[in-house]
Amino acid sequence: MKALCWEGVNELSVEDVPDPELLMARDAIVRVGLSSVCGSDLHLLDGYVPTMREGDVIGHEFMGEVVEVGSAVSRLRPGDRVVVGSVLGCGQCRFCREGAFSLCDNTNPHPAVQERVYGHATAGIFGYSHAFGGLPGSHAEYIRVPFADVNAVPVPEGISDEQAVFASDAVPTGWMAAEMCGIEPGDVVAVWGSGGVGLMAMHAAYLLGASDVIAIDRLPERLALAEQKAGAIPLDYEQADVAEVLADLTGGRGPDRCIEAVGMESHGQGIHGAYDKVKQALRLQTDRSVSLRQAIHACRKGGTVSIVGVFGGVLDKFPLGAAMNKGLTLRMGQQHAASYIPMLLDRIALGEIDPSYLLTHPMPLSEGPDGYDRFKNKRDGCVRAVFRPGG
Amino acid sequence: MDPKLHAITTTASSAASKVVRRIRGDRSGSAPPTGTSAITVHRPLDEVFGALAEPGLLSRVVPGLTEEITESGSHRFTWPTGDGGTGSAEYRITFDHPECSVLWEPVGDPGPLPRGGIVCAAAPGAWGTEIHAQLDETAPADPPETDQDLTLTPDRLVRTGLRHLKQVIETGEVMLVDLSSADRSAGQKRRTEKMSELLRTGGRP
Repeated sequence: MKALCWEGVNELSVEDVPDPELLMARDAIVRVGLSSVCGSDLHLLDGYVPTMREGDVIGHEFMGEVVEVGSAVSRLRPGDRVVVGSVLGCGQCRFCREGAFSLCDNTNPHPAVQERVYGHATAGIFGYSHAFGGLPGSHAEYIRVPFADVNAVPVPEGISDEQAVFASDAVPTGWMAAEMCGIEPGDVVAVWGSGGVGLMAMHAAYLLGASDVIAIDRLPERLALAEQKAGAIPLDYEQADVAEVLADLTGGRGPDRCIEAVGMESHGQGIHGAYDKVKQALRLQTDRSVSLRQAIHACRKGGTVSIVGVFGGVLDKFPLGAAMNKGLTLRMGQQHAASYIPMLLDRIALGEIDPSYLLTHPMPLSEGPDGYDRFKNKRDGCVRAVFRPGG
Repeated sequence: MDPKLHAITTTASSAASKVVRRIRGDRSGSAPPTGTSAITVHRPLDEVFGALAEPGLLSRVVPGLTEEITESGSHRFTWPTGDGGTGSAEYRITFDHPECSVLWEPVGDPGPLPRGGIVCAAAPGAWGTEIHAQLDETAPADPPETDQDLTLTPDRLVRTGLRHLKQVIETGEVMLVDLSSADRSAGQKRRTEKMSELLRTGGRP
């Protein structure tokens, strides 16, 4: 079958790879219908996530059709249209039973690296380096889904493929970001990053009771989407001092809840931005944290900072003093896909959230490298390039 | 700390220490490579300890060790030795129900064959059961396929085995990764072929 493979830093190619096979009784094989690029893929592409190997199939946000199931799969059958969470749970360990699927004990078959670097191994993620399991990704014609009864959720009638694909990752990640904030009625929520996850976090914040949402980005087309689609107040950080504007918009208090949806490659300005880039390039720090620093600085006393932008290693100049002395609550994590997807599909069916506008660039898989180039360099207003491996 | 919780954790670590002492027992003077690790299984103690008595499950603690039950009911293990060969021996396995421990050791001259032990204890809170394991003797020649990321130390060997044991008890099977992801891609193969051609011809047409 054809698949989009990581062949080195900033090098992707479409290759012939072996078809997946059922390896476990609880596996299913899914024919991929739609598979989206994600901002966190750029960290792989740019070489900031170690343990990638040449030939690894990338992609983790997808939907498709079940074509084969293992003997212990009971809730799915061939022909089912499903959306698959990007982060895998087993459904049986304590973390999964409590709904914290991204902390699953059993779905990362290569736990040694994480146990050494992080202290403990977390869940496996499709197409996201060998530290996260070495599981082949979804930019392929077919994919094996372990523990399919847990991780593949049937898509109800009335929800289009273009809506369902984002229920795999962007919608649940955005929802979890807002949920971790503990939003109360009347809260002002500031969201750093107006990509797919940030935009979905803005929708979620309103649905959970926020009175105002402020979108912080630098790309006019994304700020326009935040304003027009998500009803947020746009704030261009290249045109204004973020802290000053946020203080003005909140009567000097600062936002009650801040969501960081950018991650380890956030862009900075001036000397701080240059310093971060140089340190990361020289591998003196693994992650850049401009937006996280801004969020902690801007957040009101006693507020909450929720982090869903992906960080991988260590970062410099983390303002722990500000967080500690302002009594902030910091919450973070990879999304618990299986906990959220059924509920979010219901909300999509009800029309409360329609993520299909994220899909700006539908493309065949054969144009995968170009799709990533458009996405990475924000060409042609690309919010998400989405591949249809079947053609 | 809650007195009950303290008592439970003290009991667990005390039991683990006893097993370690019993395993090491008569081996003072020539310390073999020893791997130790612990893991928590989200199942009750009686279920976990009961599962260890199932044929084949115990051998999952030690990757590479293959357990067979002979007609007479005794356990035989095949163990890859350091030079890549395999050894086979009869083992004595002792299930100690009050202590929830399992010890296994080769009958007769232990030679290079592994001996080891497991102790189970109820974990505090609602975590389930702690399993503490120790394995003496050398690691197998080939690392287990599912955990090639780091140098295989005795501790890592036992850790991998315990993870597999936990997966079998909790989910019924060991999590596997597609072999294709460890294979070389077409792009890599093409590059290797080009490089080989270049080396062979020196760049001449």
